[in-house]
Amino acid sequence: MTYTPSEMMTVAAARALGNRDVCFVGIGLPSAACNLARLSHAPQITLIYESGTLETRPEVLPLSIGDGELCETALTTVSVPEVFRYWLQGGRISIGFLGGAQVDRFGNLNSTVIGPYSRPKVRLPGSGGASEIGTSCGQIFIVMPQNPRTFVETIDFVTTLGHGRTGRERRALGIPTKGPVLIVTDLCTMRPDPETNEFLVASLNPGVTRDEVRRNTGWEIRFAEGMEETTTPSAMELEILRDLQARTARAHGSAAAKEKVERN
Amino acid sequence: MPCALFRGYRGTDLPRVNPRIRFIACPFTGEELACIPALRPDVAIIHAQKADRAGNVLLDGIIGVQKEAVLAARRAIATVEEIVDELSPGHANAVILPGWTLSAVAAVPGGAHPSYAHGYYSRDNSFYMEWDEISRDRDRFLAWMGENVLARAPEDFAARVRLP
Repeated sequence: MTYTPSEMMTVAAARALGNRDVCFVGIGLPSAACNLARLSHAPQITLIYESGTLETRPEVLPLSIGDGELCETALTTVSVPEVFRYWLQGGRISIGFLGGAQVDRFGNLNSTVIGPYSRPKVRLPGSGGASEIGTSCGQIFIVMPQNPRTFVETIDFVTTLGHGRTGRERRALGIPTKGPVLIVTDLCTMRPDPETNEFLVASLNPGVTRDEVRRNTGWEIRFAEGMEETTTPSAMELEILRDLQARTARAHGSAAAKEKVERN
Repeated sequence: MPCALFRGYRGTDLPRVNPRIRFIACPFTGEELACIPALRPDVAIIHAQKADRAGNVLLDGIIGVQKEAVLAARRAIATVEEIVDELSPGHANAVILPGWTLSAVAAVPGGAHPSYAHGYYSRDNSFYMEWDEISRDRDRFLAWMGENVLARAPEDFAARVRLP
């Protein structure tokens, strides 16, 4: 079955999740990957959105964290102060799943601004809960399309702490959680070097070359020893993902909705 | 309370550009915590499902920070889908704002449009899609505001949603 690089990315991100995970889900690509996991190999996974919907099982992907669908299919819905104080900062969440506009070699994320903060080229949506998620979840997975504008040497603004500008900032700051342990892109997957926390390519997606990854990375990307090939999406995974996206487009009432969900 | 505490923000650029994010040490553990000042709005305006004749308001669904917004504000207004004789919350832990926390309560059926009211009608998603474009252009924004807000009255909301 043929598939797009974007589908490969969503499937690879979904596979990183398991039944026992309690996952704080960002809108957009993370949401598609988490729900694909729930609808395929991890039906018992717990998904939490920052609107306070605990153990939600949406039929269609939400356009925003405030979607009624998330509440209607949740085990229970708590207030926003409660979800941050007791569930997130209380250490109840094992995985935070984030995206962003820029990421650097240490998994620091920018979702605030492109260009200088005081004279922005593009003003982005901002942190939302991302800054808190990055600190309080047990570990962080990142999913983002890879190109020289998104995978950069220096991000314009640190919205969410990864391993810091030096790679070792979490420990220096006394932050006990692991931070980013996986980046999934439309070209490859990356894991941090255990010594330096610099992200190295752990697997190349089928048909993608080292050169292609180099051209699409703003820093001098390195490849892990024992690098593998990412396993291709199965027919079942693709079918579930496409059904989910088709349902979502229908529910949101336009082709524009589908485009928006995919773009995010 | 004068401020709220968070574990995030450390190691990010946010405190550098926002002077309202500051840090304190926990007096018990010494942990460094981010702290932001309380917001005290002059007025909070929320939309909820129902009110009874005493002005008690029932909230249901994704409650977000609506209760907190009302209790933090000096004055608060609630618009509701309907005013009923009995709130009939169904269980003891329903989210209810007592009438004495609100300055005014008004029935505005459809008042959440283009958003949704949980249990009443769903969100107008195509409106949100169109709004992305309208909000990018000052002239289109002003034209839209004139036509849909300034020249309209609360009674017009009901026709914009599919009420049960």
